[in-house]
Amino acid sequence: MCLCLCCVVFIFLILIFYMKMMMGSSFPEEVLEHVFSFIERDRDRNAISTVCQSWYEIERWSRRRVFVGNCYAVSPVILIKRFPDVRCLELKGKPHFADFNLVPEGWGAYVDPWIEAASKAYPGLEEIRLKRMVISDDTLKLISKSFKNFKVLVLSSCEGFSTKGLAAIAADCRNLRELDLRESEVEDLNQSSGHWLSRFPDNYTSLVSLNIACLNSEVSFTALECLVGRCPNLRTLRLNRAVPFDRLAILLRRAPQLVELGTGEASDLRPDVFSPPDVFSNLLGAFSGCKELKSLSGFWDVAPGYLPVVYPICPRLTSLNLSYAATIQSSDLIKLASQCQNLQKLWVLDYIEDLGLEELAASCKDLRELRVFPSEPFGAEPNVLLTEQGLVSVSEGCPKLHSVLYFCRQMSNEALRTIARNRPNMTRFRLCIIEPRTPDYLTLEPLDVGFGAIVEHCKDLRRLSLSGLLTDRVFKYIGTYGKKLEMLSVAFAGDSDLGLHHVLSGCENLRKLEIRDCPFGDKALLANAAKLETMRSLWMSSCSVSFGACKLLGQKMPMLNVEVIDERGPPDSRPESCPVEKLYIYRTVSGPRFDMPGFVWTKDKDSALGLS
Amino acid sequence: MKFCAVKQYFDDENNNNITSGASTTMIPLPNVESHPLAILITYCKKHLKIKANNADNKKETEKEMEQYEQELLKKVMPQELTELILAANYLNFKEALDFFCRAVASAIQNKSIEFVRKFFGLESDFELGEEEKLREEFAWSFEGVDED
Repeated sequence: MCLCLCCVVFIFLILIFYMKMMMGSSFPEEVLEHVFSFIERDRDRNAISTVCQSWYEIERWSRRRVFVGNCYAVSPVILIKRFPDVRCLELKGKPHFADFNLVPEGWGAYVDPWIEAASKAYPGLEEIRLKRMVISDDTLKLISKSFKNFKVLVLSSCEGFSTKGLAAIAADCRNLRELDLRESEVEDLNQSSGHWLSRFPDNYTSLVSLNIACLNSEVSFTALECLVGRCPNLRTLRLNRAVPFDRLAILLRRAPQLVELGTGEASDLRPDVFSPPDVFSNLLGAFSGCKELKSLSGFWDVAPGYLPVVYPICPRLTSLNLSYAATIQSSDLIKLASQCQNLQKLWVLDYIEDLGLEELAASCKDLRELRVFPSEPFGAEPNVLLTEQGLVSVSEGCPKLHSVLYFCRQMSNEALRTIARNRPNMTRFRLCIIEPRTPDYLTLEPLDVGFGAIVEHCKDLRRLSLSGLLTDRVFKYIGTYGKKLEMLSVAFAGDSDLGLHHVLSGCENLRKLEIRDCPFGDKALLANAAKLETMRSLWMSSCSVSFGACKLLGQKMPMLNVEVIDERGPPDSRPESCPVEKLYIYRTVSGPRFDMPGFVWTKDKDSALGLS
Repeated sequence: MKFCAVKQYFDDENNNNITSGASTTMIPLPNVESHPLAILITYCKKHLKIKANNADNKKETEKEMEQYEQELLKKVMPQELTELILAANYLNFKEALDFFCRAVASAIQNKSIEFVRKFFGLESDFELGEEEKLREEFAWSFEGVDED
């Protein structure tokens, strides 16, 4: 230590005699790489890659994490050519409206070609994250065999695979940390060789996160218990409905270090009917032992009498998802939510009602995200006392609230104006008034002015979903004020092409636009063709865009794929002026795709078939 | 010894001479300007001092060091950061290199390409139209992650 200080002093003395200026004008490559290693955001990496040629080279060799927002916008060949050493790959496939069954089965978004290519080019690949893509069991097997250091697999709203594929992942991915199947559709193939969970080897201990909440199939509790017990780093465990609530205590005692938990089903637990009294105290004890638990979900069919077992951990909770808790009604919801003073994210059914939201506004001052889902969306009459007032209360009481998804049956311009003024920090606002074209219930006017207030006051708004009775006027407001808007969802709104024109010409940062059942036609689309190249994608279904306009657009804009999705048969079997069923337009550097089903038409399909 | 390049020098010297009695040694550092070197020396001394003060408490060391680093950043001009990095790299001073690299990365985040070029004193050497093509094509096909 003393020697080090002395040396430092010596250097300083010497320096007085050796003051030479030699400032290299170029950084050594390894130093630049070191700087780049601290730059993670794709936007920034894209910027530094275009500074000069050498930086482009250094950046592309050192980029490890790639996000492809539309799997058809670019190809595996282009990806691999540009980035030779990727470790984390994230891909998104089908458009968002696929969640509402608007994208027909077989449309596309197959990930197999990507994994096929990656298996040869990226042996060091560690993470794969997919959303709305189709992945086969064979591909899952390929993943398990090709990437020795594979760590993370997230399949969000994916399909095309079964428990057989999961078994391959379990058996061969020795370094797996995360297996997350959120909202995916998984086929259950009853394997004679045993349950897929038991395919994790006995000496496998590296699991950190497991989300199997979407699995409809039975789960081997023994295999699950063993797995949970031998993985000391397990932080996230989201169980499916097949795991009984009362056996949860066993798992919690094996993994008291859990940070995120999704419970299973509790339909056979009825405290009012026969049930061993120590089940309750057992669960209570187990939950009390989880000192790190911050996030809770699941609660399928939990009898309200069992809710108090989670009370000990409520004050620590930051995230609560009760959107599947159909058996928990208003008063119990209020009791539960009011104990979660540190709650930041709440997803709940409309059983919470206006009263519950008022209580939430009073107790949960740190709330940032609220989603209220409909318990009976197809009912003709309201079944709960949830109105616009609930949302107004929360907007008043929760200063950090910036992300909202709210299903309700009535709304007013006044309420929207109040919400806008209360929460100018809103970044995501999705309002779903259940009945299409519902006007302001107080004045019977359209809700244009209300939504106008939202876009005007919330200057950082990035995502907006509209509903209710709306004219072209609302789109004028959006085009004028929605300068940071990136994603807009529109349904049953507008009067004419002018509406679409306002949005396309005004919203400078628009990336995704999805429209259904609106009277928008050819004019606005063709007039704003150039805009479409600056956006990721545009979806229009049940609108008034003609096949002729689609052909013209496809010809005019070679960087766009203009897909006509029409299950009525080939579009040229109808007059050109006939509106198409669905239209999906997206920019691409990889040209036309060749995996289209029969009901998808693009301009290149014609030429491929040799038709004029 | 934090300045590994200098340490190497001493190691070499020890192999050649009996230097136990020596109190001064000439060490040429042609690739380092005086100003950044002064800052690095101060940084090093501070680091050693904080480490000595919090001998057992690693967390405390980190916390104090972070505070000092924040203060230092306020006094250093952004353009000086590039000189500091080069100096730290030449001296093989790992902690300082990490710190200043992070600081530079932070300084150029969310900035335009022109800003970054100016910061590093660089000019575009792309062919006409090539840069534009890169910006338009590749910039968005490998775009930023959705925040949603």
